[in-house]
Parts: sequence; C-alpha cells; structure tokens
Amino acid sequence: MSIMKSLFLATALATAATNAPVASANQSVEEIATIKNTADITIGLNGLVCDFCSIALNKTFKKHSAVAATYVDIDAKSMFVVLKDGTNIGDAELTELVINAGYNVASITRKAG
Amino acid sequence: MRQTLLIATAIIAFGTTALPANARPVSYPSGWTVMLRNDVNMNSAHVHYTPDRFHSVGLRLVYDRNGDFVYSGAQVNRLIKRWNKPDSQANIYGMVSAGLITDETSSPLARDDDAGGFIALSADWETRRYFISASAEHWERGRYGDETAYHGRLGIAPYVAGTGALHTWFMIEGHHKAESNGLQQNDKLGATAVLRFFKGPSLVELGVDDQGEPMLNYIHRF
Repeated sequence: MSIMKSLFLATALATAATNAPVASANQSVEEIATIKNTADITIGLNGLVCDFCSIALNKTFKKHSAVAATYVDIDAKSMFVVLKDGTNIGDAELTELVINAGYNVASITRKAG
Repeated sequence: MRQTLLIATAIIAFGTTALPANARPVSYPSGWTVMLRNDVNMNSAHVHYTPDRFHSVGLRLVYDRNGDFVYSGAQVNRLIKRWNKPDSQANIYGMVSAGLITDETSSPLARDDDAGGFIALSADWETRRYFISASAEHWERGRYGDETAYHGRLGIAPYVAGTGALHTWFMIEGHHKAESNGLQQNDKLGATAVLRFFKGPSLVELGVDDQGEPMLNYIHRF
C-alpha cells in the first residue's frame, strides 16, 4: 500500500506544479517571448502532442545553417523560427524539415515586410 | 522456422505486437534514445540511434527474472505508419532483434548459450489528454523456451501540459503472457497501474502491478 500512497502523493505534487508559463529545457521565459515576437516564420503543425515532439523539431531545425532560433508552442500547435540575417528557407524545404522530424505542416506564415 | 514465420505473420496480422509498452522506438534523425524497463518479469535496456525518420538501430539487453538468463542482441525498429492529425498522432511500429542467450545460474547444470531473438509489433494513438497503445511480441529462445506476450495501455492526463512543463499521465497496463514451452510457465494475465511523468527529454514511469510488485521505467532522448 505504501507504493500506491507514494504514487498518489507524487501525482498530487505534479498536478499542483503545473499550468504556469514554463521555460523549455534550454530557454528562459524571456528568450521564448523574444523568439515568438521576432519570428520570421510561423509553422502550424499537425501531430504535435508532447514535449518529445518539440525536441525533435527544435533539434532538426537547429541543424539548418539559416536558423538562428526556434521555439515550439504545443498549445498553439505552432513552431516559431527566427532566421539569421540575410537568409531564407523556402516553403518546400520547411515542409521537408518538418516531415523529417516526424510531423506535418498545416500552415506556413511569414512575417510581413 | 516455418512455425516461427507463421506465428510472426499471425502477430502482425493481429495488429498488436510488442515491446514492453514503451511507445516511440524511433526518434528523430541523428537522435539517440535510452529506454529502460524494470518489473517483476525482467530488467531491460535498449539503446538506439535513429539514422532516418523511419528506422532506429541499437542494442538490447534483457535479464529474464523468471528464467534467470540474459539476452543480448542487436535490434532494428521501423516506423511502419504514422498519422499526424491536428490534435492527435497515431503510429504503428515493427521491431526485430537477434542475439545470444546466456544462463545466469551458477549451478553446474547451467544451460549452454543459445541463439535467440524476437519480432514485435506495436501501435499507439494519443492526444494531449488520452493515450492508447497495444503491442505483441514473440520470442524464439531455443532451449530457454519460446514466449509470446501482449501488452495494452490506456492513459489519461489529469491536466494538459504545455511546452517545457511537467507532463503527468495516469495509465493502466494490461499484459498477457502465453504459456511458455521452456519455462514451465502457465498463462499469466495481469495489470499494472502506472504513473508517467515527463519533462523535456526525460520520461519516468512508476508502477505497481496487481500482485503488488513495482515497475520502474525510464526513457531519455539525446
């Protein structure tokens, strides 16, 4: 019975500690806000159900030479991509990167101007 | 061999083979994953590398606590099909492994080493709130006894966690081991209550089965 009790206690603690804005593994809340506000590309995603998904997408995109920073927002089902100055990634290549990470593109929106 | 092929075909046709209920045996390209499972039946470690989005290759070590032997082998996992929907994802995976079985008993009657391996199929469907998986696996283990096992899981998240937050799941796992021809083992049917936590690249599962035996699983993606 002590195991069951421990399991319930752990769950109660975990449940109580959620739902506030949270930084991802390597990004502060400030960095996340900056990426979302300055993103050159916002990709709507299908299949995004957990943090393992966001890790796969971040790691896949960060290997691309034009990518400066990324953030995956599970709630918004979107990935925010900041490009290095003077670079660009076409829609076809973005779609291929997302598919390689294991997901599908629902939409691609680029920053105006 | 013919019997093995027939069993493998039956399992695949049945649509529910598998590995011990750890979903997602294929990661993202160039990703490494460590998967550990420990319960009353076994201690298992699987380390794999994902060269492309459909495959992972790695090593598998299993200590069978009932039979007191160790299986060590190479394992290949394949993502057979994935469905990405706006609010859900579903997957079908196939797994195959071949290796060597070594007796761990210190008795002079210890069995000689033997070749072994398994074939498995698993399927899962999940949203951010609900989780379902089913799996089946068939082991060929020579003088150590063949075995077929089935696992199924239902899960619900008490809250929907965002990026970077602690994700929590309540799960119930049902498992069935068919009678083994080498371990004098009868059909075993059981259930395990599981608490799954994951945050970032790490996932931990704590469980207790219907006999009060603990389970501890860990997955880390690099």
